[in-house]
Amino acid sequence: MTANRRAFFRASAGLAAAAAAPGLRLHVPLAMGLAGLGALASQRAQGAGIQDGYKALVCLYLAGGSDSHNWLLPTDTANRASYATARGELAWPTDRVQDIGNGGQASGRSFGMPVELAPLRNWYTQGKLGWLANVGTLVRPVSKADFQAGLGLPAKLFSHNDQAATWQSLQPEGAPTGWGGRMGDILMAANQRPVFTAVSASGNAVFLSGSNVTQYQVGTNGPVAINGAQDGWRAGSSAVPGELRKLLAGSGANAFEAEYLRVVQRSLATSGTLQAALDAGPALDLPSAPITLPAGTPLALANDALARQLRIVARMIAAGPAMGMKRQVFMVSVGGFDSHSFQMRDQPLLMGRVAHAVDWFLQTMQAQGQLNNVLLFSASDFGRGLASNGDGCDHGWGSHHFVAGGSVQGGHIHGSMPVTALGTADDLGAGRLLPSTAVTQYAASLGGWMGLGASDLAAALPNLGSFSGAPALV
Amino acid sequence: MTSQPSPAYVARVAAVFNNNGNGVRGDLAAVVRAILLDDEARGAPPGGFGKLREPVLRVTHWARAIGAHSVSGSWLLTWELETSGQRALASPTVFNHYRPGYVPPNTSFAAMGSTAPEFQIVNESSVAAWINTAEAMAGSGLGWTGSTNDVKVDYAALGSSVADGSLHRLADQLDLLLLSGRMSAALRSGVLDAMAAIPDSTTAASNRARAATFLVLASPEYVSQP
Repeated sequence: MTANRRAFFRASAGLAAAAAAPGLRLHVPLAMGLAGLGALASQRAQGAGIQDGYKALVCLYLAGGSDSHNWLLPTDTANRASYATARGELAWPTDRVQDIGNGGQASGRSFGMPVELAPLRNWYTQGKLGWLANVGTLVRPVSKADFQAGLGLPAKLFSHNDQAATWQSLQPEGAPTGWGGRMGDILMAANQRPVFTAVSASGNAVFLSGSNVTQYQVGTNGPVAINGAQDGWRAGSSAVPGELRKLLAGSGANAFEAEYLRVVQRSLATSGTLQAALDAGPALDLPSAPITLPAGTPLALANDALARQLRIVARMIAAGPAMGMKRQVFMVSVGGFDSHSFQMRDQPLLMGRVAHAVDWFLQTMQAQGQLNNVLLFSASDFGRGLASNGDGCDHGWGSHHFVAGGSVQGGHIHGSMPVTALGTADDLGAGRLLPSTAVTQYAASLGGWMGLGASDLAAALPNLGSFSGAPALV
Repeated sequence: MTSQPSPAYVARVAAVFNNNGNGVRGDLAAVVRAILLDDEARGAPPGGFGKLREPVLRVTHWARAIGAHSVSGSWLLTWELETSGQRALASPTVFNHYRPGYVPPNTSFAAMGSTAPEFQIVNESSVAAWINTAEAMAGSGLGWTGSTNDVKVDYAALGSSVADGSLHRLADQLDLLLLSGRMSAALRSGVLDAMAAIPDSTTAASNRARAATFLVLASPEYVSQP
């Protein structure tokens, strides 16, 4: 195992040189910005008015690059025709599309969603779900000419792991913090138990890591207890629990042991508290009776991995205020979106799973009286190209995402829907579209809702200054 | 590069000053290059060489070294490491269970910009699950045939080496087989104390072996590889 050479040279080179290169070299300016972040955190938390109530931001990560061209599609005659021409066999059949109207886009345009997304469409018509059109990773606004010249582009475009990292942290793979965690750094001072500020139900992801905030992993049934550390007769002896606790309390003989033990100790220190808080809260069981999806497929939410993640998030949100939490960031994820092949076979089920799991979550939050305090947003590595490769489509860039919650400016398509055709000014080839809104701007809107002011947002989103404004999602 | 370069590092750089390789003394460019490109400057992560061992290796090492056997003959371990984050042959994506470029945030590795890929599956849930799995490994085994655990160790046989009361011999054996002699003083005393607390009985030898094995499998030494 060797040191990351690029990071080594970046750190040892003059900071001024790195700071002079806008956008691309985010690592060092970020580190410089973060130097003061912890110190100012408590002041900012006060200043941002975090004395009010409770808020939870929930990232729904669609892993693999979701083809959102089929989640939000044109229904007016002219645009439907160009969509159908561009997409070929990937075009969603018109008899399985439900209209949602103009969405506030250019006059004469209308849009729809597949019938598989009907539960989400319900929330849209209630004004609790909104779309953000054509959002993608951007260092700064770029044109098609810039793309063709390779100017000012995000590093490693079209690479799964790097774009996933960029969506989550504004930097390619290897980033030390994510913007969810960086926001958590500012917000954690408002929480009585800062350890639960940034919670993942889905595995390690840079999104939730900050300079001070560490991602906290929770299982779908709650925290995992270390059975052998509980007093009693374990592994042959009643002395074992005490001895195990002693062994796990150390600091290790090398860096690997040290960092591993830190995680173990955090697990031991928190699982009891969290389990007690969850037990005192509502069970929020998922329905086990299967829902029949439009294609006839049965879906039992109680067995669905995404629904189970959203359930533990819902339970933690229900228990949050009682644990003295005021601001939390959560992450759930679902995979299978990398539809190079079998797209028309697989997309309906993926849509159904997301739509019903999110619907259950929103209904549950509403029943708990928390809907206005929750904001769920979707994210993915990238969109995909409009053009079919014969069985699916390939990695793209700009994609449409949705936000849902009681505070959302719903029933509206924010940003600018592109023309769904090949050969436009936005088409970079094979219908991969140039994004018109940056992930940075998307994040700024979400962070503003969480209570971050302008300077906080600039600190958490280092290239925010390259863009003007943010979509009014809430 | 470092606040405390080793004497050897300093000596290597000094040697370049004395002779840049072409018989020239005082070639500062060569000296700068020697400082920047020395193995110690570039390659040494905090704490030195090594890695965290992935769950699959933790199980296979135990099975081979201690001598586990499969009741069914088919080593029914399919789901055993799911909760530890590494269900073998079933990574969630084409990118394996963890990426080579993974830098664990909020760690000494992140401060150095060092990758530690195996940490991508280390979190509060998976570390707890590993220790619970270790308890099963030290108990009635892993996997299920339909009527019994499948992959198991005969702890009675292992414990027979301490039937004469010499607890040190078992500690030494586990140190050799599972830790390559890296058993820390703290682990050794914990293992001995746990075994000594078990009163003599017909099952004492087996229970002593189980207690000792569990503590070793759950120890930080076992999951790291220097």
